[in-house]
Amino acid sequence: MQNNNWKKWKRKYTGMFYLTPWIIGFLAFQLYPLVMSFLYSFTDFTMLNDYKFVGLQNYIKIFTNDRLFLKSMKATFMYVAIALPLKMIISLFIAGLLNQKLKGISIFKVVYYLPSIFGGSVAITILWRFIFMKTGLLNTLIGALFSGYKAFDWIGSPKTSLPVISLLQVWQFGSSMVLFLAGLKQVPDSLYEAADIDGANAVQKYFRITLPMLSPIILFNLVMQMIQLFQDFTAAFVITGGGALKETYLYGLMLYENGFRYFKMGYASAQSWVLFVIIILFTFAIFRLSDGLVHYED
Amino acid sequence: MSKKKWMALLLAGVVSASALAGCGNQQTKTPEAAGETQEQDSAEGSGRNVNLRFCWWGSDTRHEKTLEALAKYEELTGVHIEGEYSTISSYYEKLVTQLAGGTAPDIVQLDYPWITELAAQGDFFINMEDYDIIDFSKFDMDYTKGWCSEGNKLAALPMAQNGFTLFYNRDVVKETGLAVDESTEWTWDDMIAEGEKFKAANPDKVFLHSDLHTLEKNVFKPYVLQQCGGQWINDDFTVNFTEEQLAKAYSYLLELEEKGLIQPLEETMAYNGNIDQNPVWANGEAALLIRWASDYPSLINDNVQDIGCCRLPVLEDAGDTGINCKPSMVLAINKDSVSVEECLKFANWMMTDEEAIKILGDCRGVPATAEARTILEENDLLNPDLKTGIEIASANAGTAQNGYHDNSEITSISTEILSRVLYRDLTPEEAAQELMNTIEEPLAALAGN
Amino acid sequence: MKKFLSYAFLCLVALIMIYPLIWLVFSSFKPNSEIFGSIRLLPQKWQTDSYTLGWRGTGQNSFGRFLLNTLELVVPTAAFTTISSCLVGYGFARFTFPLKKLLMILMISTLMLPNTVLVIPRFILFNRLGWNDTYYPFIIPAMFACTPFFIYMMIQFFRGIPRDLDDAAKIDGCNSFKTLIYVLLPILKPAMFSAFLFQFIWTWNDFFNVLIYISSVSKYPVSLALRMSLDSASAVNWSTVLAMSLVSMIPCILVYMLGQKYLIDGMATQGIKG
Repeated sequence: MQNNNWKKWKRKYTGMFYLTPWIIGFLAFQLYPLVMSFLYSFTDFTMLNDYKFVGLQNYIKIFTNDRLFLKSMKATFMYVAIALPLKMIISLFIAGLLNQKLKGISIFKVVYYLPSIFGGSVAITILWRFIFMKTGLLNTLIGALFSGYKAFDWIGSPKTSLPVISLLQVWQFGSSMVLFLAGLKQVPDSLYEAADIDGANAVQKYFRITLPMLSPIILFNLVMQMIQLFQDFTAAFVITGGGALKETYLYGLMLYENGFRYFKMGYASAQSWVLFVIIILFTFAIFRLSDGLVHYED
Repeated sequence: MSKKKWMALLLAGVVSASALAGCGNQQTKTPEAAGETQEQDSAEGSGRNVNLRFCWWGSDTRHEKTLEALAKYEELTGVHIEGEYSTISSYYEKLVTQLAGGTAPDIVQLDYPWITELAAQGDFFINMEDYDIIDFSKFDMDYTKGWCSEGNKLAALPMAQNGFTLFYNRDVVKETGLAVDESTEWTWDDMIAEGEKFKAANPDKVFLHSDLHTLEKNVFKPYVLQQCGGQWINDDFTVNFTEEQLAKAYSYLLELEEKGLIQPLEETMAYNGNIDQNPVWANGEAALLIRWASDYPSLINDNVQDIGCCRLPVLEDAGDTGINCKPSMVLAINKDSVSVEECLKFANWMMTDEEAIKILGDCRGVPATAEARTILEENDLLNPDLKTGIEIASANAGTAQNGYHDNSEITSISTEILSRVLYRDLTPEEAAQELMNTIEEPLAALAGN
Repeated sequence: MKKFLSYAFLCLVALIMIYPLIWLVFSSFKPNSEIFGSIRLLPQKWQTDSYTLGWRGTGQNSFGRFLLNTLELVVPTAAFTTISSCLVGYGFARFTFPLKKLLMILMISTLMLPNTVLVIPRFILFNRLGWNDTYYPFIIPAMFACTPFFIYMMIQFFRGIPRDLDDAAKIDGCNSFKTLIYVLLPILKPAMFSAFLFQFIWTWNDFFNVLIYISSVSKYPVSLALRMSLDSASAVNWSTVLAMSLVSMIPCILVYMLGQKYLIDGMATQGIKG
């Protein structure tokens, strides 16, 4: 009888046992900063002052009296809308190509990953100017192809500055690609063999086997890239500084400036929690929509 | 939700609340407590057994020379000072975080507006005049107090002098025959007249090399101050300038661009804040540049070897030249330092001792004490053009601006609005109105502090 | 024909991807005026000392020192992250227990708050633990799976493995831990390697967090060392900065290549029979 209880208890809590590191980590290292930032969002905290509570004032200000909030929101949505699909499609497609058994394929795997190793290196600023400045690589190429093309500076023009910084994200599609490759490795060969017997062609195999088997990883990449893109401001920080008429004033950059430049940490915290809610909504939407589409083996 | 789930939630809440309560109380006390105990140790002991920390930003040369000075000081006194040197980017963010956590270094290199910004949030640095250690007779006290005081407190010492300068590339000047030398004292209108002549003869060259940052700080602001005089932001958080004066300044900048005397903003945005990296400058195709004198070393490259300095243009009937001659760096001492006295002794040695002055040379620009300048000059350790630049600026200095002058939020508003004028998003009149309206809020916030 | 098309396409894309980096390599031999002034690939004036100058480092420390520091910071962080995330991911993916959904939501939602507003409270917390100016703020949280990105990643990979395997192992007498070690982890090698690699590279490149926690120059990792002497008012020797940023990529490239070769390509996919 006792033994039986123990078994029941054990079955119920074995999972919890594996979770212990994270639970401890969460309580010890993550909870305090999270709760504090939530509290700060109701204060006039400047990072160094003895702050006082101001109620909902910060939140009210965000929606009624912040001239940059909407502009920044728009830029961020545009940024995600450009970078997310491009990055996903390219990395999925390239991973598919690289999963073939071709000679020298490992060289390509390295080459495609190199830009991602580069991260937000100091050289990014220089590199992006080299490509997109008025006398840069891109204009030179277009000029060679089309006579009469009027060169302009891609980084400094309000119309093109946002796509130009989004391309940094797209260029660094390597991590998504590596995950897709890892996922592809997990697809059992037997499935393809069975499909061969059924006489399926390559396209059919891709849509009936590869994509469904890869769907948990696709979902993961989609959600994580989205979360990351909503917060990212490396490119805006090092390439445009948010500029060309604030067209690249990403939300993350606004937070950073409010917090660390203007000492409005309380206000920045409130803005962060607004972003938090937005990201949560999008994440749930993706989870909902993906419900029937993602195939799990368990 | 089931009962159990609620229980768990509650539990999590309690845990975090107790964590908060604990931290909230101690957060402010910890650094002081730590400071007190350590201070006792050093005060009782020989005082020569302390380890201090000194943080600064800068270039390789500055790092090397400062480290050399620290080594020399240890040799002389036995006081070890650990250098914590890094880049200017995110230096301030780190310092503020350290101040919040109570772990800031003992001796701190600052930019002068930070004194005001930090003072608004708390008391972090000692009053230099509370101690009888610094030899104030070596310092120009009007200048020192003008730039480094916060209220009645002398919170820092100036390390080097700076000032707005009109730089000219001597090679381009020689080649094009542009009439400019050390003695040039243009009005803004002179500059346009000279520029039009220059552009007509040399359409491929750039007359005044610029970026948004420079145009706002070194052209727009002085142009406005030359009209209205006094402080950019008054100590009571009002402003002296009028909408008309702003509009006139915006129009002037627009005119510069329309006449082709500066590059369109679109082409300089990618180099904003890194004016020396624009190919126009890197290839030596520009004649003039308005910047801080201290930027001199960054402006030299393979194609630009020989540059001179002259006075910033000034409006014809200006009451104030608007030429900002702030110290380029100041030195403050953490009030929670393990030994304030030792910090002060070092600061005094660093800025007034002949040996220290010789070791450091011009790695922080032109020193702020006259004696140091003489020593460097006699030993050929000072770039003569840089020195001329500083002298000209100092001789024509405008009102010493308070720390609100460089308030980050107001500066970025002003910069943004200027960019909208140059991108043709606003007319000068609209821009003037926009600036007046938009700065009301940050001014009110400052007043609220 | 199909092979040829694949190659042609891969080469074209590879060229676009890599050309800017090749340009950077050559730029590390150019003087500043050429780096900024022209888009020519080859230097007109070869500056050959940028690598030796850069390696010498600044002041008291050589660049080699900074590389070693980085390894000391990055290797344990990446290794612990991989291990702890595997365990926690396993717990989430393979078991049911009370509050599972809530905990999962909590875990993922900690990713959604921007770092900016967490910097100060986190610094105060770690400072109170006495971890200022050490690598602990990176290594210890890694032991406790504090990067939920990797937990969720492992969950997704676990869920791609058929449960039949677990059941078979159970019948063979494995307990849940043995099942993880002997049955599941061998299949998850590519995923574990990806986690290690990502954490390795992200920590390697992290500038802001490292800057906040590390004060002693002798403990600087390369991300700080590279920017150490960038100053807007002084002459910066960009060729040495570029040279060292390229050198600092090499360990990351090696990790990636070795991992690809031995852990991913070397693995027999036949391990899983659906």
